[in-house]
Amino acid sequence: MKEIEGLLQRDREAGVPQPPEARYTIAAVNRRLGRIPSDQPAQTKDDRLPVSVALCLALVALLYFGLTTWLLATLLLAALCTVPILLRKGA
Amino acid sequence: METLEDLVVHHQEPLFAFLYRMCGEVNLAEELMQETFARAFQAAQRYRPEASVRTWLFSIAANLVRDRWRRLARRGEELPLEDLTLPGGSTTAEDEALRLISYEAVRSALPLLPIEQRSALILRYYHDLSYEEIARVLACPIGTVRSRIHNGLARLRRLLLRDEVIAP
Repeated sequence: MKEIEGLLQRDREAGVPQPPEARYTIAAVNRRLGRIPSDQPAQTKDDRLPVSVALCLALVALLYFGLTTWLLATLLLAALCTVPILLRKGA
Repeated sequence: METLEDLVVHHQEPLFAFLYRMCGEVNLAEELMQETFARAFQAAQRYRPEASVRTWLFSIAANLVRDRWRRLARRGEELPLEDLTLPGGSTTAEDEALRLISYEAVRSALPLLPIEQRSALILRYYHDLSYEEIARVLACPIGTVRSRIHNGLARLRRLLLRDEVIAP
């Protein structure tokens, strides 16, 4: 069996192809796990909706009513909507 | 337990080499490596510190390869080689022939070994795992590891002596 062991040793010394870069593997594993890396936040449609609605309301309040209290209230609402989103993303 | 990033950075090279030698294909090895890391990360709470992280990852990878191979065998895509008849014997002429064989022939022949023998040989000769560690990875007694390695070497020898495996 010494010859076979010698051949295995030679094959080992010849090496194998290199794996992909670690960051590529990490990203691929994260995709498999359904995880979004914290340095690459991706907003979903669900996340964007409340923010967009609140901003539109703020603009409507400003343009048509000219009421600063409405404006402030809607901006506050928009800010509150973003809190759980930011907490979930860990930003 | 390490983070996913640490796991990949520290262990992807040996894990990829193991899977590449088990499968003989870069893309498949890459895919199985990603799946191994994903499963390891999901099962992190089941990790026991008495086994090294590398041994633990190898055992997940070996299970993945075995599951895939069994699935393919059931579908008839890749037949098990347990019943393959190969010429036996050990002569000086054969020893001489083996000396002329290139390592590429070994690389081609390894994936033709039965999966249990292949895993044991690769872990022993390419990753320097002890018999005890191999037994842990393959979830079998140490005596079984010894016999798999012995039978694997004998089968590899016979495979290499077949005309189609020997490099021209």
